Amino acid sequence: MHSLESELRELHREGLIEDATAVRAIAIESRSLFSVFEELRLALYASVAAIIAGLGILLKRNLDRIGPLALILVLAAIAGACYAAGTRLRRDRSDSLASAYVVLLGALIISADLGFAEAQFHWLGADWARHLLLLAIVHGITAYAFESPLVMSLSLASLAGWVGVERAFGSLLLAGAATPASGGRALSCAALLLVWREVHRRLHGSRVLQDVLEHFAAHLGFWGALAWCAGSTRVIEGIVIVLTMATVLIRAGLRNEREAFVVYGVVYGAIATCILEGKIGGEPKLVVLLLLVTVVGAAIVLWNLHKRLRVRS
Amino acid sequence: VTAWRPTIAEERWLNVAAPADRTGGWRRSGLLPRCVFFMLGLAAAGLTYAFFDLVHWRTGDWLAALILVAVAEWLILSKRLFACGIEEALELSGLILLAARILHAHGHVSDVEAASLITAAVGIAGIRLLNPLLTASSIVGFSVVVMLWTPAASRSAALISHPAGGFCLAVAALALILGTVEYRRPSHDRMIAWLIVVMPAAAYVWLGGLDGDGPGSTRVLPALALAMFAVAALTVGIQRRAHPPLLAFMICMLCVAYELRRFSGLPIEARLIGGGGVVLGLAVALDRYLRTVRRGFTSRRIDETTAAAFDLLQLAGAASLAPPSATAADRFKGGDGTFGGGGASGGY
Repeated sequence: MHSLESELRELHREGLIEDATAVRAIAIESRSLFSVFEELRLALYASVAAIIAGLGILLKRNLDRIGPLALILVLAAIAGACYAAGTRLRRDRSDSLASAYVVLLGALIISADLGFAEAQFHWLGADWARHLLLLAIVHGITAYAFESPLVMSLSLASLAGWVGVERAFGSLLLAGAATPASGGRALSCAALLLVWREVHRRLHGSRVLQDVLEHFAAHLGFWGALAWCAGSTRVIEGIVIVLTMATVLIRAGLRNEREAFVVYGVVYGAIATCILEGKIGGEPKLVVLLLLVTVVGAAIVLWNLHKRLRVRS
Repeated sequence: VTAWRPTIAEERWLNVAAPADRTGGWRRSGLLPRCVFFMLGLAAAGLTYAFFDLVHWRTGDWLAALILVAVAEWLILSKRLFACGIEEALELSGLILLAARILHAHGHVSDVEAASLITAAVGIAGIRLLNPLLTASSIVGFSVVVMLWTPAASRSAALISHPAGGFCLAVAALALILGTVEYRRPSHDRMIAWLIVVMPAAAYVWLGGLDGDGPGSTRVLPALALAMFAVAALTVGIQRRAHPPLLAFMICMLCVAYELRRFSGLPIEARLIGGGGVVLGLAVALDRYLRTVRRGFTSRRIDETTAAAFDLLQLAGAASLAPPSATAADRFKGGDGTFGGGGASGGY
């Protein structure tokens, strides 16, 4: 055990930290206030993941015994119960962690239910993928109703799935997958999210949900542009988009003191440069040296930006 | 002021983000940039090795290892980086490369010697950098050495005859006891904390928990030992109000629950849904119970220092449970009743 209480008291005495901050920090250091927030979050995530995995197996194994319609109705009822429980928990406390995860469980059950129903009855026929769009809309509405970043991320992942974006970042860079089409899909999805984010911002929507939109848009945009870089027909366009996005994100990250975006800009910028260097080819020693210079350069740039952010905060 | 690493006082000031005059000029980074710097450091180390490998110098490997360690030391001593990620990656890579080179130079070496040297390299890096993850990894590595030392005949699943598992449990118990001591240097405390969390999981791996085929009677001892450790960790965690024992409790309970599969006779889906439901119920109840502070315990977030990184991780975790992409048409055949995933296994 260690406690930094004495240091905090000294900083407070010298006026370097405010009263409220000092009281809180000292309470945490002296353990007179102890939060189990992270433990609960871990337990809730693990339990939701276990239930959903179990449900998937249950659906597969007992389909013939129970019958599809009964299963669909039971799942819908369970999802409804989860939403009701989430509403009740949220009424008790608006920032309830339990509410967030119970609602997430409900949303995941809806996903399973709808996917299962579509696979059984083929309501959408050849356009089966539209059930992902439907899920994105349903989860989006739920996310706004509960102001839930978790369900919002589920909605955006479903939307990306509908557009046809591969979920695994690495798969976008594989030789076979790095096609203009796959990159274009990811970029279209990013553009769609940026439009959504702008509408959300203008309507003074929740800051938490806006954050989720921004993170997803950034990743999808970079993935799409990197897929172009890794392909053979739109390399220049890909590089230009990555570098432009990186510049914009770094500037925005510095302006708004959001380090994650600065990190995205530098790291994705470095990856694009490395891909380009690999494509130029030539003497392997020279290529490796160029890659090394790029990685070291990225680390130096990131360090300087990190320092600037720390000075500001 | 010691030049080679922060003094105790400097490290303590670093942990409260005090002005530079108190930290002796030492600098550290937050969790997210530290992880990114570590990855960049690993990439730089790999490329350095690749470059020297391509130039085909006879001493290329040695040179690469020494350059990596030298750059790491320069960053520490001259730029005063502490727990920033990049110097940790370079030092670790350099020392491991050095160990690998020594092993290669000696020709025929036994598994024990190889494991010992790599473990020593990780341990030296951990102690030099005061990095709790590396020191805990070296102790886990030492358990590999213990396992390799053990004659194959005695590597049964029984606790007493499995020295590597016993060693890990003993270290975990010792760390739990050592956690009562008040340490002036925060990194020493964190080293103990990581041992409390990591060692029970390592013990379970060694005790054969993951092979799943041992006879029932030999499975009781590991499960019992982990259950006892879990109870001790929970008690200590509540008494001391410390996170590592609580995390250790959760890990141990997960291992015990996995072991109980042999005795319940229930199908996997029932165990997953039942177990998940019980944990969900308990977590919801605890979250509600602690919505008002009780004896200093609360379920609200009070520490924002690592919040951003964990929030991002949580979003990624939620998104990973979403249905697969529409491009994965081979996984979803719309016309023949194949289920394309509903957020679970996606394997219908």
